[in-house]
Amino acid sequence: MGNIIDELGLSLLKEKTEECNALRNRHVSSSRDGVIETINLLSSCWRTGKPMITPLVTSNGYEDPVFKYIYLPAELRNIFHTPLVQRMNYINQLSFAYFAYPMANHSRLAHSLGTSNLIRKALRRMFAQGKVYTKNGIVDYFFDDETQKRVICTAQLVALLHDIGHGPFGHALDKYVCFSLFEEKKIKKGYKHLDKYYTPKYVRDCLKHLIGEIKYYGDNCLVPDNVIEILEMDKSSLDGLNNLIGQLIDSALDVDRIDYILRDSYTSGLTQGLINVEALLHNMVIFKDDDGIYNLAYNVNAMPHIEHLLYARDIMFLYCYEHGLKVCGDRLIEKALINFVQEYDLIDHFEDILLLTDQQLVTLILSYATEGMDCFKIIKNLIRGLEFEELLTIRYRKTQENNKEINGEIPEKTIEKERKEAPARKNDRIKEFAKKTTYGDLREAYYDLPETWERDIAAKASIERWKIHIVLASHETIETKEESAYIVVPNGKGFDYKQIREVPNLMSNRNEVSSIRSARNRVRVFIYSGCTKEEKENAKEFAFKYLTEER
Amino acid sequence: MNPEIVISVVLTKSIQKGGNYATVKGVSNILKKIKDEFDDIEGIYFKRIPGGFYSDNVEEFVGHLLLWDFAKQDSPIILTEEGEELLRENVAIAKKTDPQRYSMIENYLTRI
Repeated sequence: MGNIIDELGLSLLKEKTEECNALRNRHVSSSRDGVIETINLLSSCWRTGKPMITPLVTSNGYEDPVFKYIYLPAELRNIFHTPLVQRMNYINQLSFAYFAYPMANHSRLAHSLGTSNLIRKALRRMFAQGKVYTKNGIVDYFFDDETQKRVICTAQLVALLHDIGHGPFGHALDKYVCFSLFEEKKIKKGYKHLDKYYTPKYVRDCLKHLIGEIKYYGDNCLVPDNVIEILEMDKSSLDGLNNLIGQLIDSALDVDRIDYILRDSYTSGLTQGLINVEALLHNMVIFKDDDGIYNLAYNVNAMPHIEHLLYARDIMFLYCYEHGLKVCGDRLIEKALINFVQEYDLIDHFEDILLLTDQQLVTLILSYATEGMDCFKIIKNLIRGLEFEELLTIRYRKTQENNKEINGEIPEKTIEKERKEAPARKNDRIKEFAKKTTYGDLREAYYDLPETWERDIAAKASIERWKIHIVLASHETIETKEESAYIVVPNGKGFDYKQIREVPNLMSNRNEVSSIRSARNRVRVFIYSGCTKEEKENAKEFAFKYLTEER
Repeated sequence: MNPEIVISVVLTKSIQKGGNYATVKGVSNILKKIKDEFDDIEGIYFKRIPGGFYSDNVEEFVGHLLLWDFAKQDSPIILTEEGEELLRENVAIAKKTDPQRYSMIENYLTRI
């Protein structure tokens, strides 16, 4: 009798389990459909080439706290009012920097308008000079009205559009998308910023026809392919003045950087970044090479301001772009998205997800994630105000201090001195990460390694995995960055076009810049603030040992 | 072949030749020629500068070598022992993963 009851019980249990599974599957499947439907609905609003509204604005520009007033020519107004451009209004330029600097919450659109203003000013001044530098001397050179108008209009448009390819939260998702999803989907290699790939793509797919309608002079319209070519990552085929526009928007000391450093300093309150824009613009010159290509260069008089700019950029990275709260927020949203994409199998829909805005992405995850999912806990935490703290910072330094835990302190030593004293660094996990980046195994370096490290540390400290986050040194932390800016140096007969680093004794504070870059080269571990003191201590001890032990 | 591996192959040869070859500009120009004449190198992009081309990918790679103690200086590029070892490993990866493309690049490099 007992056996029959047992058997009946088992068969009922089996039946119920199957029913439950079927129900669960149906629930999951309908949820997945719902997620996809929502993503399509939200992303399709932006993926259209039609202007959002008939612009009623009659003014010729916009008030701006940084430049006071930004002129936007009437010809560009239709483009400005397209959903793709307006979408930048809803993407924070500095993602989660507002956790550290509450005023720093300006949009990508504000930055794009600022860049557009600077490129216009720069070109007008260069044209007004009526001079072109060559290796044989300065030549009087006048560009006709039609050329000037075409170049300025193209340049302003390029500046306005240069950031439309950003996904939600700007650079926060770069590593996940470029090093993991691009590889998986066999999308082009070598992109380290997802916007570099999507900006020309969006222009090609959605805005081409509108660009072709922009009249810059009489009945002459802009050539959309020129605009796309300038926005492409490979700029080797740009010729004539298009090369100058390309360098103004994307080179070592371009107007894009000038605007973001100044604007981000202004809004964050980090006044070290308040560079002398006027002096930089006044010293921009056109250098014409033997092939008739026009290049951007700076007069040697700009050196103090260029040095300030280089210094300001690194200071901004150290204190703002890589502030603990910001990078922790970036890592959290990245992990939430990875988890969400895995849970709902959304890998084939990631390009639509990248079209969402910051708040759309947060709302999407919050709406569809269930309480048991890591992405739900992470997003909830982000909304509540980032309840995480820096547990440990390990700086990769070229001294014996390398292997010491340094929390918040930067030993005051110059790089030159450090190099002489430097012992060989042992082969620990941080070195393993460095090697993977130089092998080009970027997926492993930036995606797999931190995941593994977080899992191991969390397991050892007996805490949930989502409570530990690791932030690696940015792939942008390199020693030579932006010293490839060009200046014209008199050579007796004419001018040489030289990189800053080729001009001896001009970079008086190069060691300082190198020191800052070295200080940025670090691995940081963050822990959920709600963990107990004991959990934190255990995690800290293990994390340090784990990351720095000889392998 | 990853861009970093291709850059390593060219950089190794450039350092052997020394002088202007062993600079970011020098390596960029060789890579551009290889890309134009022989092989569509995936993932390395160029900009025009007077007298040639410049690649941010090369600049970044060399910048990483400097930052992580694999190189001592950048112009001309001088590697540390560890950096030499790393480049040897990358060249070995190139030979192994794409021998045809590797020998094409290698052949071109012997002629410069």
